[in-house]
Amino acid sequence: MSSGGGENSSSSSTSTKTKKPNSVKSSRSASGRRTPKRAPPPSSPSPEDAQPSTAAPQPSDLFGVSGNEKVPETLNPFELGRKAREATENLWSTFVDLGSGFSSRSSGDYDLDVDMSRVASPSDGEAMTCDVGTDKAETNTVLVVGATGSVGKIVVRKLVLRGYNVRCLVRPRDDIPLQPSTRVGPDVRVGGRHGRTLRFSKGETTGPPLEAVCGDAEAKQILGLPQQVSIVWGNLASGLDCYRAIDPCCACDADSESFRKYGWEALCYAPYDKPPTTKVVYCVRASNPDDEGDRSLCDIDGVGYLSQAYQTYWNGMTQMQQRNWKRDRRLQTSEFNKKGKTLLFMFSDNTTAQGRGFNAALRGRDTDKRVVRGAGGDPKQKRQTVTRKRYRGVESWRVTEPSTGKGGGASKPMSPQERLRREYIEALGVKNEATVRSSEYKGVMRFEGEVYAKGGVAEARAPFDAVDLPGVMALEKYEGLQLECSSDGQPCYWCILEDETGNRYRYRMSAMSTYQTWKKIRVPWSSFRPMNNKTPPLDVSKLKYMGIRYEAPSVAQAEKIKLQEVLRSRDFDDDVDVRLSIDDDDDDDDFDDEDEDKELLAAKFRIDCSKVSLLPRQEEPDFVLLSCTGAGAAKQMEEARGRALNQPNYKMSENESTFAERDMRRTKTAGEDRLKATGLAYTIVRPGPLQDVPSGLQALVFDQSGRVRNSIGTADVADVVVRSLHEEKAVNKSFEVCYEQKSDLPTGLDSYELVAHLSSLETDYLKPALEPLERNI
Amino acid sequence: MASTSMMISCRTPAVQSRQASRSFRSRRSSLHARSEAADSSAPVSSSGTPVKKMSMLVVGATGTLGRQVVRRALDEGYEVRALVRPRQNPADFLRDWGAVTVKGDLNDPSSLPPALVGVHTVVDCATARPEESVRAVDWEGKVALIQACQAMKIQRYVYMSIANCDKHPDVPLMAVKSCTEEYLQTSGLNYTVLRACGFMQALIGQYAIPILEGNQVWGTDDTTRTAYLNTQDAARMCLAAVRSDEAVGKTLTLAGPRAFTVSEVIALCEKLAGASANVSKVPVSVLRTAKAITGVFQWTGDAADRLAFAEVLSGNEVFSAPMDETYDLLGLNPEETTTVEMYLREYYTQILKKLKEVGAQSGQNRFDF
Repeated sequence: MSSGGGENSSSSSTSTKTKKPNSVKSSRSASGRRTPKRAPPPSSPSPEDAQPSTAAPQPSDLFGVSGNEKVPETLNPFELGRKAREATENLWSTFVDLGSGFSSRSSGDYDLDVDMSRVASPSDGEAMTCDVGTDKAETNTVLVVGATGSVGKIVVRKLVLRGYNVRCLVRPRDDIPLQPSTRVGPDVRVGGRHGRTLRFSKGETTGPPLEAVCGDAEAKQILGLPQQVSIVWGNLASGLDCYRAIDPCCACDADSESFRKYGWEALCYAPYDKPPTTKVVYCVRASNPDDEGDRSLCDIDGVGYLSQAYQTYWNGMTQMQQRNWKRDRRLQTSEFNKKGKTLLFMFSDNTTAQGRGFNAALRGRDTDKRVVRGAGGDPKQKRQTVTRKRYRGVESWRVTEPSTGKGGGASKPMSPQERLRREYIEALGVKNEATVRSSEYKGVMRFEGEVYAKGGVAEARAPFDAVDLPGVMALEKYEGLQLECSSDGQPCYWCILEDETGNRYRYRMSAMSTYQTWKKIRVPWSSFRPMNNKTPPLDVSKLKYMGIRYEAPSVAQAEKIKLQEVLRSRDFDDDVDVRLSIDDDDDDDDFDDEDEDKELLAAKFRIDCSKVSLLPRQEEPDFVLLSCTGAGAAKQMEEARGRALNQPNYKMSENESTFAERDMRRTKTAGEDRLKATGLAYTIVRPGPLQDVPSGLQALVFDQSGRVRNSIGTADVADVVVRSLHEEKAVNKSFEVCYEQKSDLPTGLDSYELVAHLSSLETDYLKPALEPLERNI
Repeated sequence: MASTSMMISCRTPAVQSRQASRSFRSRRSSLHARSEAADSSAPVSSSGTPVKKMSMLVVGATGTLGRQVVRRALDEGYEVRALVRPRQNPADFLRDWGAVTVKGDLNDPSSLPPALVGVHTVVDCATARPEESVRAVDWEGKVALIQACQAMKIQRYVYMSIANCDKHPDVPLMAVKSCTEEYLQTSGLNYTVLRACGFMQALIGQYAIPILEGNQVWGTDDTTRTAYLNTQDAARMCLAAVRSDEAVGKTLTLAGPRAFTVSEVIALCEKLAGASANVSKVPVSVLRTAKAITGVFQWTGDAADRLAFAEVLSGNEVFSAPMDETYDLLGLNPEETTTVEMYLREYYTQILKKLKEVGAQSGQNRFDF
């Protein structure tokens, strides 16, 4: 049995070797102790075949025979000096090992210091062949939320094996009593490490973090976590706890006595013994999916709070670095990247409306000042305006002349109806109109107007260089744009890019349905298509303008829209079929009833835009969210109900299952959207129903269409999650993953069309699997 | 313990006549094992709370192979329990990785059943330490473990043995391993025997480091060839065997890609280290004589056991096996297996780099580059 520590195995074996001569020295007692072990009982198996069970040893024999055989190392050493004895022992052990070394201890035991130290230290990358990104492991601290769950548990172990610094946010439990930590002095760690003070509302208690009464090691044992992780006790519903999980060195609020006493100085020299979280793995599952509140906390709010805390911390760090904070050398040397999007244009301050929960809970000074600036900018706050000069408002947007469009274009002859239409428009003497202005309600940018004729377009644009981007027009450092828009519901709006030579590229912004909700549209540069065939492919570094474009729908489209509207309002007028205009239900829109023809032909449009930001291009995801597929959701619900009813084999009816699926996917999707909107580099993994099987059994299928319904092993999901932490192809992607379909059909007739990827710990299957998947959807 | 010794006594005649009727008995016993396996697995699955399929007990988890098995199993998502002896400095690294350690000792059969509660698979990579008695650990301890597994209805048992162990009844460890294999076949467990040839990790201490340091390397003049295998690959194969249903009741030899003689290994090390080895060759006959002498005395008994391998060395055997079938059975890719060249090259690259760093700091460089 070889269950000794690696560190002592070498010493133990050498000690044995030194023991041998000693035992001879003390002659009888030693050999007597050994005898019962060695003496072969009559009923024993073959081992004693090899051992001639002859008489007791005689020292004289030893000397005589060894002399004959010319093996000096068998000289009895106890008559020699100490030094000579050591030398002899070394020789003897080498000699004995000659025979035994190669395969006798093949199943477990070696006396190799080097080997042991190599294998025993888990941070050593090359100890595992199946490592992914171990070179990056040491510099990363991964926060695993939901570490006690079925997937989280394996994720934590995998990360620990690969040498990551792992932190777990664990909910306080009944079986582990907690107490305020005594090791952390609240006097030292005021605020966060980056000096951003946090004020917490909702009556949250601030103070030292919690720790288990029974001790850290014991608590980890109860939770089933590896000893190498660090635990942050806290609840997802608390902004402070979430922030603490990102930066464990934050302890107090700005109102505390020590902050008033020491001010910022206290922060600069605070001991930062705990590294901040660099990556988040979120695999929380509501324990009771039937509880809507629990589910919305776990699926939506937790994601929101954590991503906000993550951004608050890292963006604070970036800001501080940019301010060239000279007091702390450590902060200067380390590099901080901005997490999340960069504001390009902001027309209003609607952050309070958007980030309800977290901003309310975690509203620091920064947010307050932003409100002041939003109201017009206070010239006294010079420092703030410096840091905030990056984005521009509505003033840099210009309307390019609206046109009637090219009609059929030069190549195609104009249809008789169209020609008639144009002539009619000219006869009426109406003009296309479009304006860009600040809306009176929220200060959003409103682009509205009316164009006539099929193919009529209106466009507004702004130059990129109105924006003071970090670096030299570093648009290629970004991955794309994020627009926050709302429109009148027409599917006719485009986002336009134009480079310095006038080449234009466009992307259709679809599905902005209602006026009241803001839709966040993420458009990577790669989604923009050239406006005509001769345009060369998009070169991001040459871009000059971005714009919004409206193209009037064709007559058929307009009629269709109109017809739907009319049907909805049950207004069966006679002139339904000839009305071409689009009524957009705007109350302040007063059109001329008398000039009916003009109204008939007008295509009105209105689009509001509150923010345009740049999405940073990231090498690796910051936030990996474990969601689930529809089938997975139904299975979770089924399991939870089975547990509640104490029926392990509980089965839901089909209707029930469909409903549960839709219900759970709703909150999951909301959580996914919350994460996408933050602008962090995300990866969303949606596994099928989970199975408790080892990894590598079956090939995996990656998909984005929601078609797959198979199950998948927990270990495989964990492997995908861990791999995607350093996978460039996983950035900003959401995908389903499950085992491949086992087809009943004979080989060759398999109907499954998705490409399966064989999962194994050795090969990097994730990169080719994720390569064809689309980003940002 | 009583039952253990009883088992031993039952087995003895068979062992003694082993050479004569090996082929017949092995066939019979494998049949026997299969029928019993079918019998024993049926009631387990039908009654009681099902054991989690992902739960695994690793015996000998602190050993060279055992710890790799633990790592690999954790990485594949198993709930790993490790049987460790209560000792002064506990195996903390296992718990650091996320395994659960259970106190137990193969020499204390009463400690085994508690460790087996709720376990689906047992992987046995234990063997006696040099200072321990082969007989107490590798025979009595293993018999106790197998019996405990029978009693606790363990559903999968993987046993690490030595290649060609059935051909050397004179070598105690090999004879014991061979006996245990046979005992396992009659136990009715869903067993898999994995016979390892030799591990690359042994090469480091025996040849790589001494050559690097310019110390004397001890070798024998034998032409035994061994297909060395990386322990990580062995662990990978071990876990593949655990999850493969086809491996039940099979005895598989785990061999590396190519068999090496000692002199070939030394030559390779010399090439990679850029140093010439100071080889002292000891004729095998000397070892055999030494064994004969040391075997006479009780106090040199352990040494005699180890020197007994001289018998193996003199046979000019090849410790290797065709692996195609094994790879196929386990569903592994042969190209992923580390070769000795790769292993030693990586080792030397790393150690030379490390030594350079150390040398730069301390200003002394006693190594020949």
